[in-house]
Order: sequence, then structure tokens, then C-alpha cells
Amino acid sequence: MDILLILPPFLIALVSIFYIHFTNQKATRLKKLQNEFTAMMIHELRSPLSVIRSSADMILKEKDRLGEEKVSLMIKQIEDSSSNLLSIVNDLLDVAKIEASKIELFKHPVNLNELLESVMEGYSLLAKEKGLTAVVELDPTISYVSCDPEQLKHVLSNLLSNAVKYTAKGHICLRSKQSHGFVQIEVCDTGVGITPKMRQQIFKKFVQARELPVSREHGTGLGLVIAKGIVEAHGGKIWVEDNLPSGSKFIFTIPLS
Amino acid sequence: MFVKCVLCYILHMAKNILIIEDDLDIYNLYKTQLELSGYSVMNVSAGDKAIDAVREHKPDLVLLDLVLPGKNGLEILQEIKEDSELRSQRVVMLTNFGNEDNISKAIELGAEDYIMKYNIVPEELAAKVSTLLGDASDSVVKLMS
Repeated sequence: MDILLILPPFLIALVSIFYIHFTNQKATRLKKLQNEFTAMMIHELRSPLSVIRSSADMILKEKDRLGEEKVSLMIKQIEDSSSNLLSIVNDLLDVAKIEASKIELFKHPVNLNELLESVMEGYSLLAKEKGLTAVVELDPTISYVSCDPEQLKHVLSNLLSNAVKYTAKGHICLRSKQSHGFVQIEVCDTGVGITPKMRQQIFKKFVQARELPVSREHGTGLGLVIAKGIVEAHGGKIWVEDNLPSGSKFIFTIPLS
Repeated sequence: MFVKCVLCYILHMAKNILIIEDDLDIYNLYKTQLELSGYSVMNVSAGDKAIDAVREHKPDLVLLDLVLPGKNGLEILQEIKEDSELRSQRVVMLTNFGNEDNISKAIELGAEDYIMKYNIVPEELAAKVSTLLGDASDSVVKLMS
């Protein structure tokens, strides 16, 4: 009898302790990820800043000793690093807008295949420079789709630049088709691929965060977060699959109407 | 000016700097400035090739970035300091990734300094290298100019 009286509050206390423990653990883990993400972003911002500051300082102080060619190269470095810095700042602003659900879409009927072809043009050249083949297979029955073309270009650029960046040999491809009232767009590659565990995480903000970033090449990791935000704002979905036999296939949908 | 460059080169002739850095823009800036100061400068950009490069070139000073492909700067530093042949290698961390943990770990492992790239311009870096390597060239060059 005594045990029956004691057991319920004991169980409640036990469950509460476990709940608090796991909640605290989750909060600590999130805090750690946030700190790592902040440290990584600071690193990403400081890198182009260092190049800008150092180049400008050298031009000012050593112009005569450097010669015209080196000065021109340094001015180009300032220009490239400024663009890089601007794109990081824009990414951060986009993520902030997405998180606050304040992303603005300027939708109007757009010839989708023309848009896809125009974006792919630049990445085909980049792919060819890397020795990759660029494949484009667009559904000719798709005509005008209501979307924000600039935002859609942003999504495609993020996916295609990743495809080129992470593919050493083989091909990158862009496909479109109609499926159940949606346009389905695929960006695939024969690159390193994505593990099933990473597939669950890849569209989350802190996924690239770690104590030490591995390399500059990995960037801020915000591109896919932004892509997801834009696709969802259009009423679509985005996900990633294996591109058999190797590589990955990013697929997103946009409503046809 | 020519005399100044030649003098720098003669004074630093035997001094080699290995910059372990994957950002080629910033590497080229440091290389240009250090060469103007008379140093001979080499680069390795992949973290997993860094130890071989140190073993091969036996530089007077290694300027080591933290964020590298393959192997990070702290791992490279640790390997250098645990290798009986490379232990005496002088290393300075040169990075944009600095928190208290990384700085204390690098110093604990044997780095002589921890320099933040965004905080220093190439001219100041060359002056620091010169001080670290005990070169009197700067004062001589100043006297010459």
C-alpha cells in the first residue's frame, strides 16, 4: 500500500528529472552549435577583410616597388574579396529574413525553361573549365510559372555552384519535369555525394558549424538554408537523394499555378 | 631603392619562410612583402602535405594557418612538436580563426606567437618575422634610406 502511494510521485519526479536533464542537454548542444557557427562566420568575414586591408596597405606603401602588374593584381583581389564579403553579408541577411518569415517574393509569370537555361549557361562554362560535362534536360511542355525569378535564380545558383564545387569528374545536370501540379527541378552531380545522416541535417543553419572549419572551400554553409527558405516561400519543397551510382541529386518543386 | 632590396636580400639570404596557407590571395600578399624584405618564401596549401614540406625544406620559420583542407593547423603543429626530427621547428600561427581555446592550445603546443591576419598588414608581419628571426636588417635598411 505504502509503495502504491509513493510510486506515482516518485515516477513523476523521475520523469521530470530526465526531462530537465535532456532539455538542458539539448539547450547546451544548441548553444555550442550557435557559438561554433558565430566563430565560423567571423572567420568567413575576416578572410576577405584581411585581403582587402593588406592589399590596400601594400598598394599605399609599396606602390613604386611593386610595379604596375602586381598593383593591378592587388586591385583585382580587393574587388574579388569585396564581392565575396558582400555575398556573405547578403547570405546572412537572407537567412535572417527567412528565420523571421519576412522573405519577400515578387512573383509574376516567368518562362521557366528560359530562366533555367540562362542560369545553367554560366555553370556549364565553369563545369567545362573543370573538365566536367554539363547536361540539360528540360521538359518542353513547361511554359510560364508564377515565381520570383531573382529568388529562383538564387536557389539554382546555390545548387549548381555546389554541384560544380564538389564534383571532380563526370557531370553536373539540370532537369525539369511536371509532376502532380508542380514543376520538379533536379540538380544532380557525380561528386562526393551526401551521407544519409547528413541528408537529414544539410538544410539546417548550423550544419557546417564545427570547432574548426575544415577548409575555405566549404564556405558558410548558408546556401542550402537560403534555398530551402525560398522554395518553401514559393509553396514548394526541397530535398536531396542519391544520384546513383555516385553523387547527389537535389530536387525542388514549385507550384505550376 | 635597388640598394635597399639587395641589402635586404643579402641580410636574409639564408632565411626561408614556409607559409602553410590555402588562401592564395593572402599568401601572395605575404609572399610579396616578405620577398621585398629579402626572405625566400615557399607555400603549401594542403594540410596533409604540410609535414612533408616542413621536413623537406627545413624552413627558418613556419607561418601556419589554422583552417586548412585535409588537416588543421593545430594538428600540424602537434605533429611537428611530437616529431623528434622536427621538434625544434619554429612556428607562428597566422590565422583568422581565434578563440581563447585555440590560442592557448597553440601556445601550449609550442607556437611562438598567434597572429590574427585581419589585425596585421604585410609590412607589420615582415617586421614581426624579422624580430622573431633576430634580423638586424630593418635598422640597417632604415639607416640606408
